[in-house]
Amino acid sequence: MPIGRNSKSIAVLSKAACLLMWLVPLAGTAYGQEDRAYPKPRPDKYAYAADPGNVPDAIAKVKSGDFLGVHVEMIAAARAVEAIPVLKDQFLRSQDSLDKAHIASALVRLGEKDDTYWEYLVTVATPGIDGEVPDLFSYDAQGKPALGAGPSPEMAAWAKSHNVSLERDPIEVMGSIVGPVKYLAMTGDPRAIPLLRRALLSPNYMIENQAALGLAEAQDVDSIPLIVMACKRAPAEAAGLIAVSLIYFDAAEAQSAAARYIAKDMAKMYREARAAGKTPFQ
Amino acid sequence: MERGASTAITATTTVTIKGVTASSTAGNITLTAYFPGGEGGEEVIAVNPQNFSVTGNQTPIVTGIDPSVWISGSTTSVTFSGQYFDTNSPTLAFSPSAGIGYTLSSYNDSQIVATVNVATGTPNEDVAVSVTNNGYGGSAFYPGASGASPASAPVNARVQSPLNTPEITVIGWINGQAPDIVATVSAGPTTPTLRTNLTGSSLTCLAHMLDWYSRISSNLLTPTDIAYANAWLLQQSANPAPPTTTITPAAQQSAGHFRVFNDFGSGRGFYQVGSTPSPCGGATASWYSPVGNTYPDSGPGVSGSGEIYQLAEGQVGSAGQKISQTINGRTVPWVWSVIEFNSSNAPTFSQVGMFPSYSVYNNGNFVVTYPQSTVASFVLNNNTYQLAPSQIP
Repeated sequence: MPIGRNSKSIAVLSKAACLLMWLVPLAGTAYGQEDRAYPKPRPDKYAYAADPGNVPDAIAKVKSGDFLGVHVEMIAAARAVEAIPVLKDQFLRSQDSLDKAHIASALVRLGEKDDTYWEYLVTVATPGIDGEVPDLFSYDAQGKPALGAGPSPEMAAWAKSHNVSLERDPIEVMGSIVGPVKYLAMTGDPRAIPLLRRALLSPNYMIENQAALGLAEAQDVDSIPLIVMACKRAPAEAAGLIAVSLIYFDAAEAQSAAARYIAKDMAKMYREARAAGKTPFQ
Repeated sequence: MERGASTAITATTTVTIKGVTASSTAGNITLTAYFPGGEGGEEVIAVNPQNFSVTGNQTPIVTGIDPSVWISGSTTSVTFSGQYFDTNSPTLAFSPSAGIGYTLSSYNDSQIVATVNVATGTPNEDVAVSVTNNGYGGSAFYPGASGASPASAPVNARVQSPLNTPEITVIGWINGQAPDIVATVSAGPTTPTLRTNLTGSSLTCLAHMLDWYSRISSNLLTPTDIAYANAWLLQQSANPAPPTTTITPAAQQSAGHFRVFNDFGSGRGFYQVGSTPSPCGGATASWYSPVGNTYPDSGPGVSGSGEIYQLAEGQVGSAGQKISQTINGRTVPWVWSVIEFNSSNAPTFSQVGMFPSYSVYNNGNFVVTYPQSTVASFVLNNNTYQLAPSQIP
């Protein structure tokens, strides 16, 4: 396939993006079905994690216990409900809170009704939502992160008070805080809406971004004004990031705000991607 | 049995009593305990003396030293195995002792782990190692004596020195202008939003990194997307090419522009796994560059063929590993360099990983650059692509 740059090619590519979705079973499908058919893998055409033919391999890997997070996400994206028992098993076995949260998120997205997983997600996401975690960066007068200035003084103080070392791996620090919020936001579950609205008030723009995307995933149109307010409060570059969520709402208010905060060419690209089937977390 | 402790004795019980001396009388054994500061006491034990032998303070016995070859100019964690080391900070002695120091890391009655430091310039030599115990449970031995046991019989270790060798420096660096990287980035991804997010702003880039960190393979739909993501990340976190003329190794090391740095010879030994400049605008911000993960067995040693070497091996740091695992669906391979000297002090330095590029210097003078493999072939490996000390010839 030639490399696409226009909307036609995006539309073609969206079929690849949505291939996993063909597997979506009807609501209420009982899990445990062993005879579900998957296509053969097409490594020439699809990336491993985007190839529906690799879902059985992902399930087998999770079942074996020798798996990566990408396998969990493949199961969730494919709505492979037959994997719910093995995910539950790995949830119990996992010692890593982020991996555990990811599995819990997958189980919620697969429709698992046991509140254990939802409650775990909320528990691990709450420090990111309500913890007043500062932003990693200071921002210059143009609203761009001042990367050369080091971490923001607020973040440096937060890290010190929480006995966290930013020097070794700031991405690891951010990921461990933002990740659980993302897993909660990805569920699109209405129960997440009040939590994500609170997260829109976080001083950390990566957390705000996840919250806004989660509200878009849940299609909570009542949150649009709150997302717009978050953009208004944020430095320009952070506002452009948070506003990407608005692309996924049809409301005119959302689209006009997106046009206000996102560079024109980028907004065009995001709109084309949405038209081709892309969702906030895809 | 420690001072103050008790145990039931049967006909077959072997009892070692520590911190006391003993004498026996017919029908009974009298144990007289001497305690530091002159405190004393007696206890009568009703057992048959024919079935009871008393051993006093035991002289330590050293049965193993691992590793038993130490490289001058380096620090090595050494395990000493044996008996009767006791529990009061045993003492290690070295003969000859010049240039050799140690710090105890842990110890018990049968094992001592110590960090042994051999100063630069210490020559090739056999070193007799002995252990003296200093008592148990906070108590030394018989008062009036030194409070210590006799020294163990010596067991030899060996110091090997790269003193009369050239100083070899190997700098492992990512060439962001490698043809495959340039071509892949130039061709672009299949999924347009991948490039939009990575290149749009430092925050859209960071948000995408956090997606991948969180195991979400956003915008990675085709093999072309995977190739683009790998190539773009490496290009944006590449290192400046080291000089092809001369270098001052210490200055190169302190500049930090490498993934792995290996310097060995002429009495020196130094290695370091570098940091990964953040692809999201972090090339100019060292604080934003995660530290790499050092292979625990990195460092100097002696190969199976008896040659001294220094292994420098590492991989990207924790967050980078998670990001790479999401992109490639597998764990992250290692990068390494080995510098080795034979008995004639001639160096070999060609044992390097397939990635990244490695530039070699002899006494600071450029020798050669081993180019990196393609990114595509490197990322087909996982964390089993690794060099263990046992694989060094």
